[in-house]
Amino acid sequence: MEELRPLTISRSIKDAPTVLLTESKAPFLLYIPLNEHIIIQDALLRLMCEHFKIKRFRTGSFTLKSKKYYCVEEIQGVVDFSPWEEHLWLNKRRFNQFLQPSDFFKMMLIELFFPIFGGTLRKSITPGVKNQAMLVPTSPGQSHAIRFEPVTLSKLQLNHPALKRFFLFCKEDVREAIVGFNLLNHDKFMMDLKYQLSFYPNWRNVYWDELKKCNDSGFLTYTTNVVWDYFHRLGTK
Amino acid sequence: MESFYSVMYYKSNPMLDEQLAIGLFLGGGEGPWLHISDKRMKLLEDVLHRNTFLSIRRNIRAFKEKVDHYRVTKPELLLFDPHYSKEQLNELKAHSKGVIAYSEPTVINDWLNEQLKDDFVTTILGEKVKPITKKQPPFSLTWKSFCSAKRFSSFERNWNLNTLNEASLASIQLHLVDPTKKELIQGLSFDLKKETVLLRLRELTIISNDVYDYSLKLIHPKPKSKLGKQLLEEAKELFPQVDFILFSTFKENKK
Repeated sequence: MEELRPLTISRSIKDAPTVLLTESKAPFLLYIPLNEHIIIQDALLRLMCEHFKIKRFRTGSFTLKSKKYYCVEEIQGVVDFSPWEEHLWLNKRRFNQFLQPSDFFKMMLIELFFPIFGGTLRKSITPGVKNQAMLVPTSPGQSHAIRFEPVTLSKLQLNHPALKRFFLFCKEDVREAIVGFNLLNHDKFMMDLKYQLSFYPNWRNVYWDELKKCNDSGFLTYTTNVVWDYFHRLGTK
Repeated sequence: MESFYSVMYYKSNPMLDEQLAIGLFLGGGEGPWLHISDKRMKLLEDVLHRNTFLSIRRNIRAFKEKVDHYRVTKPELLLFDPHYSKEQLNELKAHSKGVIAYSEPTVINDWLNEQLKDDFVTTILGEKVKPITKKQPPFSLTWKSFCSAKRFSSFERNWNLNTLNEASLASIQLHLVDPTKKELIQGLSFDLKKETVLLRLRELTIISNDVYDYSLKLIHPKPKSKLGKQLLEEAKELFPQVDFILFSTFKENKK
């Protein structure tokens, strides 16, 4: 994890979280005190995002008053990807403001096929000439070891009519995302994840015991069928 | 459902403890309404990166349209909780981590109607609610759709000037031409920019010189600006051979 070198650190009058400004003028939020679990989970998620080609916020670490913090990049104008933002894709013209909208579905696939982060990951819509999908690498279960807990489509709000309408607009891209994800989710990738865990000898066995459940053939078949069933139930435009 | 309001904030640069109240959401009663503060949006436009501002503005405008549409249509049954309820806003306030935040909904001890909404906007945001004026489409579009009507089916549309006079070098579009009756009709709004009006009048000079055997009519809407009225008077003096007809009169005669 990148050790951040601050240019300055903000001082909030409202006891809001502290923000660190790096020498390259990038703001980072001091999110949570760092522990080994956060380091390992950050490494795993970073590897997954690189492998499945998903953009995510940059992370780093910084020591403030002899306490090490996990820092997450702060980008201005970010809005959460949720059914509440349905007005951003009410019709095709508005939906076309999204760049690579199927990336949101890839994030859902990571959570379905690797349900180890103890809750749903935050998906964000970042502003630009076109709206882009980025993953916020913070999860509720970061302070403790991972646990294999399969998530349902409802927990990810995929069954909400608003999200169904979103993915219906890019149905072909969603199909390609599912096919691509299944091709990339192979044994060699699991070995890469295992190799990443080998850097943390204290926890590698605990983590691998949970992570290898994601590669169980029964779980993979079931999850793949659930995803394809969802795709077919999306309907037609 | 009881009436409530919730302030919509924009959380700017995370290094500042700044939240700008960009809008007011009022629910219940005859609502919901979402009022966006134009002055505060102008302020955001000045301080944010252009792309960030455009993205936020797109988001807020789309949300406002959705709320307005919901207020007018109200598609769901009244047996269930309405879409924009106090509970929904509370949940949104608790869970939204993005750049737009909502305050905790505050109850209003009165029936929410449009007058009360305007009063709240003035009291909380300090702005007067401007009445929505219907924007008139530009004359060029009105004229274009008028020319394509069935009543002009005997006319030729959008001919080039050198179709009537091969010797003419100018490439000027003629709006309506009746070769049998030797009639030529052009449309022009005198409220356009002075340069544009003068350019069109120069084109009219070329047309009247090159096609002298055609009767020329210029259809125009009533000029609203002082300059427009002045240009029309000058044009009438310069082109005595051209028939200047008001668009409303022309429409009545052609019915």
